Formats: sequence, C-alpha cells, structure tokens
Amino acid sequence: MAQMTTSPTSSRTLDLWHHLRMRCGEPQWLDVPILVEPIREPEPHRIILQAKTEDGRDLGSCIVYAHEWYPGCTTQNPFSHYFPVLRHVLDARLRRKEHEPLLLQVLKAVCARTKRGHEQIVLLKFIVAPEYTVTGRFIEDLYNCPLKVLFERFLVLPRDSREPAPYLGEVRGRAVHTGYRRALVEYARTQDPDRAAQAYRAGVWREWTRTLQTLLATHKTRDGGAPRDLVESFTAAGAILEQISAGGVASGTVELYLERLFYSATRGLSGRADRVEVPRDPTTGRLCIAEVKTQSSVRERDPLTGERFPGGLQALAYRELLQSLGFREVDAVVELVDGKNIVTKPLGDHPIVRRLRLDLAKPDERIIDLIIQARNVYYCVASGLFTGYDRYRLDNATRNWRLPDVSGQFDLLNDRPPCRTCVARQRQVCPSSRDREGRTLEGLFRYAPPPLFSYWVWFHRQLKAEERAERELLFHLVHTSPDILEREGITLADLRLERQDGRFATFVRPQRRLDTRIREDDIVLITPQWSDHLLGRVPRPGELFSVQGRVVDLQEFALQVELDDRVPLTAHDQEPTYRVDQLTGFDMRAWQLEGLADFLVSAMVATPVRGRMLRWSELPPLAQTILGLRQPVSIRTDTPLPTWATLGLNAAQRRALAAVAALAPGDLLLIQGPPGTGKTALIAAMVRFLVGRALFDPVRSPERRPVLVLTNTHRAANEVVLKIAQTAPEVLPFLVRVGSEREDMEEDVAAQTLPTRSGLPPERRRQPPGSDDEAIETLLVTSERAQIIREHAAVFVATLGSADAAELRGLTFETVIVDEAAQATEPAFLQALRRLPFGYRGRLVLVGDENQLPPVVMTPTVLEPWADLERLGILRGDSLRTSAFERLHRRYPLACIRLTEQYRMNGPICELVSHVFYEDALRPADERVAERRLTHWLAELGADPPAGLLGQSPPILYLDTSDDPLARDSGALFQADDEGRANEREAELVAQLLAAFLRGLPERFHQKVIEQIGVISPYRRQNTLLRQRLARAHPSLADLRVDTVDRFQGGEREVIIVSLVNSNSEGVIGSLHAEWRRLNVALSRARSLLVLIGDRRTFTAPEHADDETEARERFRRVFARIEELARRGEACIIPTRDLFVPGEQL
Amino acid sequence: MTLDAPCLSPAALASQLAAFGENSIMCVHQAELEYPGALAPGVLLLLGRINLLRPLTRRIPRCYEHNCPLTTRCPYTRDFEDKDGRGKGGRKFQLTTESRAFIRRPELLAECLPQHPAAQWLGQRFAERRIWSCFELAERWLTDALAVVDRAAAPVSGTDKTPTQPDFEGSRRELAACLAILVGLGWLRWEQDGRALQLIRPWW
Repeated sequence: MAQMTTSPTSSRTLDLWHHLRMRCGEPQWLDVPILVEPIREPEPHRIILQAKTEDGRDLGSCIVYAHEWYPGCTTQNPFSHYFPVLRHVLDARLRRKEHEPLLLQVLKAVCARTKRGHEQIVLLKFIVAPEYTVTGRFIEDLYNCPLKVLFERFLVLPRDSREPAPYLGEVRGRAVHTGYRRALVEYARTQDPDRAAQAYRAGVWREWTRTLQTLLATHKTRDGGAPRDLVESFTAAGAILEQISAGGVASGTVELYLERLFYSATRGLSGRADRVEVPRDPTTGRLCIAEVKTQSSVRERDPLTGERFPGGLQALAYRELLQSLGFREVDAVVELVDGKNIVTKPLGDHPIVRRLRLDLAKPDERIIDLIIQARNVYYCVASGLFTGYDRYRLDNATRNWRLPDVSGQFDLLNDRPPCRTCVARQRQVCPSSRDREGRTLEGLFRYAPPPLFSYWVWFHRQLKAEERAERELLFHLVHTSPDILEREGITLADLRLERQDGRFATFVRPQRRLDTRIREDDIVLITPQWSDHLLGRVPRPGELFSVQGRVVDLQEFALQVELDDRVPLTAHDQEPTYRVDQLTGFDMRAWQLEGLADFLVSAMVATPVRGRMLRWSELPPLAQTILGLRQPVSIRTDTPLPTWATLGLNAAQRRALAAVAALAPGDLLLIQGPPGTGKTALIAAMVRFLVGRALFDPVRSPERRPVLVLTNTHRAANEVVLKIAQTAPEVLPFLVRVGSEREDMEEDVAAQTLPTRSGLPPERRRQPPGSDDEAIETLLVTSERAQIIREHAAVFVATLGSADAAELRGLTFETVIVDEAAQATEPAFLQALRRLPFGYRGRLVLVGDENQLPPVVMTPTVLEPWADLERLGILRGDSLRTSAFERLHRRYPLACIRLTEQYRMNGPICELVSHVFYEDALRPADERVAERRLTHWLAELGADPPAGLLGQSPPILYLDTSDDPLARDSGALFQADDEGRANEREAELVAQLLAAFLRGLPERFHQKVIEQIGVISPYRRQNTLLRQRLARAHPSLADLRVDTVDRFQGGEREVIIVSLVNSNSEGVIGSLHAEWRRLNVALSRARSLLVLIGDRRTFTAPEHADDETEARERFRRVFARIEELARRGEACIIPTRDLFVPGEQL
Repeated sequence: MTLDAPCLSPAALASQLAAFGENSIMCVHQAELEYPGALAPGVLLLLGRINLLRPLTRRIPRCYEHNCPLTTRCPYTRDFEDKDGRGKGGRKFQLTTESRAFIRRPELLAECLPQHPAAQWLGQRFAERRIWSCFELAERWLTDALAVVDRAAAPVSGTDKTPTQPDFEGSRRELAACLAILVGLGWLRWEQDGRALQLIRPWW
C-alpha cells in the first residue's frame, strides 16, 4: 500500500532533516515519516540505512546504534528496544525476500559528528512500520507478558474448546460497561437520575441476556442465591449514578464520545476508550479520557506494592494517541468499579508514573518510550518478524517470557507473568509458565513432524498476510486522498446528511452517482468533513469524531446507515459534508488462525510421544488424512439402513447415507453435491439417522453428542435447520441453532436458538424487568432452562466461525458435518476438527462442490509451495482460495461420493451445466424435473405465457451482443478485484425484456412472478445499474432480486437472467470471469428458463493470462453446447444488434 | 457406531460382570474408549444406583493402581492423578456382595430394576400408551425436565401437586441402559426398525 500513498509531509521531512544537520550534536524531536532500506547487513551494534522521504526524495544515509547511543553521546540506555527490534525486523524481511522500503516514523534523531569528523544522521527513537495498527489493549498485554503475545497474537493459540465455559466475571465486566454507557447517554439527554437508573438496568439486562455463556454458566449458589457477579452488576448502579451526577455530564459542560474509534497513523496505534469528555468551551477544561475497569480485570499489578491499576497503560497509550492527533491538553483517568464502589484513579497515581517521577503536565519522552516500546515489540512479535518460521527460533523464543532478544524495560510492572489466565499454560505449550506441573508438550515447533509444520507455515503465512492487510487498512484510509479511495471503491466523499432519525441516518450526493464497492451490511466509518475547533483541521477517519455504522440501504444517490452513535451536526458557518469509509473485514482472520494453531497443538498432544521429533505416522489417523498422507478407508455403501432413515432419498443420497453409517472414528468422507442435487436434504437425513440411533445410547458421555453441522455462512446454517424442520421435525426438540436470533433468520430457525428456546426471545430481551430482583430471578430460571435444553440437545447447527461458541463449549461430537466445505478456506474448515473428541476420534463428513465458488479471500497471497507441501497435495497455484474439500478430493478421489440426481434444472439447462462442468454425469432426478418449462410454472400460478421473447422462449435463450455496437462495456472503474465494469446496453435489454414480460401478464400475477425471477451479474456496479434500469422500465421490477453470482450461490429461481457485461475489442474478461466456477453458479440457478446476455467474441477470444485458460475453454463449451441445443429447438440464439433500438419498446 | 438396537439380557450382563474378576475396578471411560468387554457407563451407573455395584466416591485409585489397560490413550487419566479430586467420584465401580449375588442369580436384576427412577419414569410413560418412538420418549423426558424448572419458578398455587418430573435427575445413559435391559428382560420390544419401543409386559 505504501506505493499508493501521498505524502503531504515530505517537504516537512526535508526541512527538518536540513535543520538537523544545521544543529549538529543536538538531538531533535522530529515526528516525521521516512522510508529506509538497509545498505548492508545489520552489524552487532549498528545498522546503516538509506533514507528517503515518503515520495522517494533522497535523504542520504543514516545509522541506528544499539542503546540509543550516537557518536559524542556519553550515556547509553541499556533497556532501549529500538535497535534490537529494527534489527529483527530487517533480518526477517530479508529472509522473507521482502525488499520494499520500510516505513519508520522518526520521533527523535541527531546529526552526530564522528571521531573522524564526518557528520552522520543517527536515528534514536522511531516507530517501526506505523502502517500496522496496534490497539491500546495489546499494549497492556505486552507489558503483562511479551511471550503471551507470541502465543496469543502470532501463533493465535485458542483455548481448548473442549474445556467448559469461562467464569461469569467477564460478563459482569461487559454488563457494567453497557449499563454505565447507557446511563450516561440517558443522563446527558434528560438530566433525570431515575431514567438514567432505568437505562443502567436495561444495559445490564441486555448484556446478561445477550451472551449465551451467561445462560450456560449462571448457577444458583449452594444456598440457593444468585451468583455474586450477577448481583453486583446490578447493584453497582448506585455508585455509577453518583459518579455521573458529580461529573461534567450533569453540569452539561462536556460533549461525550463513547467507545469511539481513534487512530493515530503516526503512532501506529488505535483504540476505543470507554469515554472521552470534550469540554464544550475549550477554555474551561481539558479533554479527558476515562477507561472503566471492573475487578474482573487482574492485570497491571505493581511488583513492589502489589497495587493494581488495570487499564492504566491503556489510558496512557490513549492519551499519547490523542496528543499525537493534535489534541494538546489531555487528561486520563481509570474508573475502577469494584462491587458497589467506584474508585477514580488519575494517571498520576499509576505506579509507573510515580516510580519514574513522570510529569504528565509536560511532554516527557519516557512516556512515549513506554508506549512505543510496547507497540514496536508487539508489531515485531505478533507479525512474526521476531522469529520468522524457523522452528528452532520459535522454540528458543519461548524459553524466557521477557523475550530478552528484543530487549526493552518490561520489569516496571509485574515481576512474573499472569500465567493463571494464559491460554499457553492451559494448552501446556509454554515452557516459561510458572506452573510446570502437568505440562505435557515440549518443543511444540521443534518436534512437530515436518509435514505438519510445513502445513502450519503454509497457511499461517497466508493468513498473516491477510491480517496485515487488515491492520494496514486504517493507515491506508488516513494516508490516501479521498479521490483515490473513491476510485478504489472503498470511500464515498462529499455526502450530505439528509436526515438522522434515531439510529438511522441517510446521506445523499445528488450530483454524483454512488459508484462504490461498499454494499449493504458493510461496516463503515462516517467522518464529518469540516474543521474541528479542537483539532484546528478537518478530522480524518478514526480521529475520535468518526461514528461507526452498518450500511442498511444503498441507492443510486443515497446511502442509509444504522449508527452506533449520532453523527455530529455542523455549525452554521460550515459546509456540512461527510465521508463514508468501508471498514469491513477487520480482524476476520483471528478464528481461522485459531483453528490452524489448534490443529498443530491438538494433533501433537494426542500422541503419547514426548521429547523427540514426531514421525507423521504417529499423529492421529484423521490428522494424517487431513495432511494428505493417509488414504481414508474405502467407502462402504452397502450398510443396511432402516427404512425410516432413507425416506425421501434418491439412490445417490442413500449411498451417501450408507457410507456415513459405515464410518468409524477417525474416518473422513467427502460428498460432492453439484447444484440442486439435494445436499441439504441429505444433511437433514444424516442428522435424523445419527440422532435417531444415538438418542438412547448407554455409552456416550454427557459431553459427547451425536452430530454437529457446521456451515460456511449463516444462510446455509439456516437452510439446514429449515430442511430438518421440513423433513425431520422429530429432531427439532434436540436441535440447537447456535447463536442468537439474527434479523435475516426465519421464524422457524430463530425458534431453535437457545435464548428463544429457554424463554428469552428478542422482545423479552429488549424489555428489562421492573426491578433488579425480578431481573436476577428471571435470569436464573432462564439459565436453568437453557442448561437443560443444552443437556438434552443431540444436534447443533453453527457456522464455522462460531465453532467455539458458548453453546458448544465443553462438548465434542461423534460426527461433524461441514456443509459448503468447498467455500471455506482450509484454516476455516479446521475449526470443525476442534469439536471432535480427543485424538480426532470422530467422523468427519465434508459436503460441498469444488466446481462452485471457492472461498472468499480478501487479499490472496501467492506463495510457491515447497517440496514438503507437494507431498500433502498442495500444488503450485494453490492458495487460501483452495479449499480443503478441493485438495482432499484431488488427493483422495476414491473417498468421495458424488450426488448426480438434481432437482432444480430442467433437461436442457441441466445438460448445459452437466456437459460444461460435470463430465455429463448430472441428470434430472425425474421426468417432472426434466420436462419442467416456463409454461408449467405460469400454469401453476394460473397465468398463460405472454407473447414476446421471454414468454415464448425455449429453456435457454442466448442474446448475443457480439455484433451490437451499443453493447460495449464501460471499462474498469475500480483498481480492485471487482473492477466495477458496467454495460448499459445489457442492463437496458434486461429491463426491457422483463418489462415486456410483465406487461404481457395480468397485474395480479406480477408480485408472484418477480419473486421467481433473478438477475445475476458478477459486477456490483452493473447490478446497481440493472436495478436502476429495471425500476425505470416497470414499477414492479424495483423489487426484483438483482445480485452478484457470489450472493446468489445456494439460491434458485424459475427464471434466471445472466448479464455477462464484458464486451470489448481487447477480449478482456477480467478476474471475476477468469474464475470459471462463477459461471457454473450463475448458469445453474435456473429451474425453467435461463437467459444469457453477453458478447461471445470477447469470452472466446485468446486468453490474456494463464489463469484465464480454463475459463475461456469453459465459455467456448457453453456457447458450443447452446448452439447444439438450439439445433434441437431447446435453445434460441438471438443477435441483439437489431433487437432493440433505444427509445422503442420490445 | 452400531446399527443394532440396544438389548441387554440379565444373563449376558451377569456374565460380563463375572468376567471382570473379584477385585477389579470398572471405569465409565473404558467403554467410551471402546475397550473390548467394558460395560457401558449407563449400565455401570444404573447398577450403582440399585446397589448392584459400588460407585467409588472416596480413596479412588489412580488408573495405574488398578492396572487399567487404557492409561496410555485415555484422556481422563489425569483427572485421577490430581490431588483435589474434584469430579472423580462416581466414575469407578467395584463389585459388592449384591453384585456377586446377581452374578449367581441374574433374575435378581428383574427384582431390583423397577426401583430405579428411570424404570419408574418409563413405567409412567408406558402406562400412558403402549408404543413410544425414541424421539417422542426423548422429547417427553426433556419436556418433563423443563416443567420442573417452570414449576419451581411459578408462584405456589397450593392446589396443583401433579408430578411433572420423576425424581430421576436425568442421566441419559442410565435411561438408555434401563431401556436396553427392559428389552433384554422381554418387557419392551424394539419396533419399526429400531425407531420405536412397544410395551410387552408392565413392570410397575
């Protein structure tokens, strides 16, 4: 991203560099960014660098010495971290062959004169790679135990999900936070203490009812009372309200900013303080940060006095962060909520501040040193630049919890790490853990079998690259001009606030269309674009004034957002514009990294061998199979099945069910389900069978359950529940849909969530009981019900991302079924293994189709596989986009059963799809499916087929735009994967075709007809255009579903219209079409009629790149087969050149 | 995974118990790890509740102390190593005088079983109707358990004293073992391909 940034500060850098040279021997505070490259390999005590400004202007060479020394300096700082961190980073980058310049934010430098009289610039303090954002909470983590950061943030080791749920203190902390926040807002709005108290109770109630772990871990005490954590979260109200009424909110002198994101690009830090109070009149006070902590936080304990100051370092970091943004006078306090009391601790009382005698009223480099040390070391360790992927370095790094190689002064706080709460100790992988008793795993990295270690490295490197892109997003937003960001499709500038109604705000830009990659459900930041009086400039995204929200609706010129807080309104004298930046995707990789780390650790823990390198053949059998080293046992499809288990299944589905029934612990089965072949129905049948056989099993332990279904998306999980409700309703009492109700959940699905089943549906969760006692009693009864329902549950349905959800904690499953397995990245799929019994002694069934869309990956990294990986079946060209299903199917073709009877497409459409994508193996399940036509569907509605192209078409209609001069595409708009192409002519043709079709039908049918029509194109920009044209062509068409292929996967319609868009003389088909599986999904959604609009010449032109070869070949086969079908009268090809002239109706 | 509907005759159970030997220790985890000849945990728990076995709750031996053959692969071995001993009780069993009597005279089980709360609860259900599908029976068991919570939470009405839940506290494995033995005794019979149970002879 560095190449795309602009650098408004470059001239300032040049000036300061010049100034530095003018005042030789005097260290200067600079705070400017520079780009550096090592001139030669780092030496033991110095690193020589070539420096440039951000826009590439040469600054000459500079040096970094160990211990912040420079020629002429008489003192050294033996604890300084700057030199060792930089050396590690440069060294690791060199080994990774990363040669682009490294960005440093130079805080302090000096022009030193050597003994030989040469002048040289020496960098003393700097932030390494400030584009990588570190949150304030991690600063505190690092001071508690640097090694913990290696385990938790680099390896991303999760706790053992077979362990039971955590304690209630965590929920109490969140409940107090939410209650406090709501009470503050209410008090600020009404100045009424009673209403604030009610708001507090509502917040606490919401938090306790929102989190399922609450319901599952809330037990009555031995004497029948409520747990202390539960009671105290309610009783803290008195002290909190007292605190509020004594503060600035009550006097109305401050403006409140609650849990707002703030980010400093120069410090590489971000955070969300609980509260920032900004004085309305800047002359009357200082801006104040308040961090609220509950007693459940046990961090930051002074080694000398034992005094606790949780959140102190975090507050210190936030203070530095805000000051770096330009807020000059900033105070910070920590409010410690302990039972019924609140203790307000000013930062001046912090043990570090007292011991170092820091004067917070003045700028003090030592404070910055403290914060930056944690930030730099965190970056170095968490990004893997400290150890790389050298197994011996990794193990050696774990031998001393203070990570002495990166130096630093970590003994200011704890004298020992807080091992009690550390996951590395729980998983018994930390040799530095204080409690070595019972530790069973040594040499995690050193002793891992080479194939397992290579497997981990392969995916870890790719996921870390994704994580890095996400961590650099905020920097990119701040450092790039809105114009460029708008061209990238991730920013919308110059928006006006049309209205703000409660939580919703509508922004408009009447003069310019909102062409963007932002779409509904994206998380965005809304930032006012007028000069703030405290900052003295226009704020950038994430600088305290941004409000986070979720896009609800995107129109041609308007955008509606659901907000976390109200957006600020402008003063009268300023231009009231806002910008909206896309924020989606932040931290999405965490659980995938967790699944990967869990596989590494669990596979090794399950072997009895310790103290030497393991052989791969000593790993659990299923782990060997997943690695690609052990052929699964042969599929047995002759297992006798009870008749009730096979009701409604076709022959292929019955074979698959028999194979599932024959699986033994440690076995793997792949089921490939092409479009419409009844994958979900088969899963429902599997569930019914497995639950039915297991309901009264005298062996299974209470923690062991029969079956878990994991899916890649919430939609697929809901589909599974609905299918079970439809075909196996007897299973429902024992089924739990993991998670809380979501807006997009059907009623039948929501009814299966644990909160609803245990008596807390959403409407009840929104209405807190009238008193604290009533609330506590209700929670206790509900939790008891939830625990009973969970105890009796035999099947759980969840997404892969929620495989560690509270409902599943402590449970393992005999059979784990992964639906949509070909759409999940391999690390995501590994989540499924976390729910198998110890040693992976469970059955794993993957259901998917690698010929449909592969996993979605934001920034795919192309790595060259090394020799070990080829043994595992990882081939050149594979990446995170290659699912485990695809790799394992390639590796073990005999372990897969393919479903071949499909229930969706009629004969000709099925033939087209089967020929192009499934070696002609796919066929309609019965004659009724094969013979289905548009006329049958319309007859079911009671309508006659209208005249016109669509109404009278055979099952496949191809509108060929090859010779249509009006049908050329717009060219690429965005510099991103989704190139933002559009094709006005195709959009108009679709609109006119459908409008003519509707006009030929009586109006009473319109609603039902449009529910069964779908329009698909791969480009969001084309879809926006299509929606506009459709709405213009006929009012009923405004409600028609128009979407990308990716969002249509899993769906079906009677009529599908596919707009291919690309049409150009160069024959460019773009990266979206180069993924040929997208074409399969697009064509296979139709039941009765498939309409394809596009330029055959463009798609069959010679390929531009190697990765297009297969796609072009498939397109050629599509058009050839359509021609053949046309010869048989089952398809129709119409050139569009003379079909429709603008201004006429079809 | 077995496809056979569970059935356990008293004679077979008695001979299984006899095969363990006089001073042996039986552990609920042995069957979970599919050790040949191990008794299902539900059976151990059920026999323990009707005094045909003695569940160990104090001075529980470590696994190696009773020569458990599964110590190298059993994930629960550590539970019995810990000093605090939380959760150790009721997982290991020993033969008692009554066990030996049962081994000599398997019919004793038919006399003792009806005292078990699971058998009593099942008796109430089969008194209501003669055929229950597994799903219906399991659903009723869940409904009854929830009804107890609701009754406890509801204000006391004074008149409604209908028992909604047996005093059986809810071990699915014991219930399953009880069903298997009732089938083994010929008092219940599996029907519909193992999907339903039919009453053959009342035991209440």
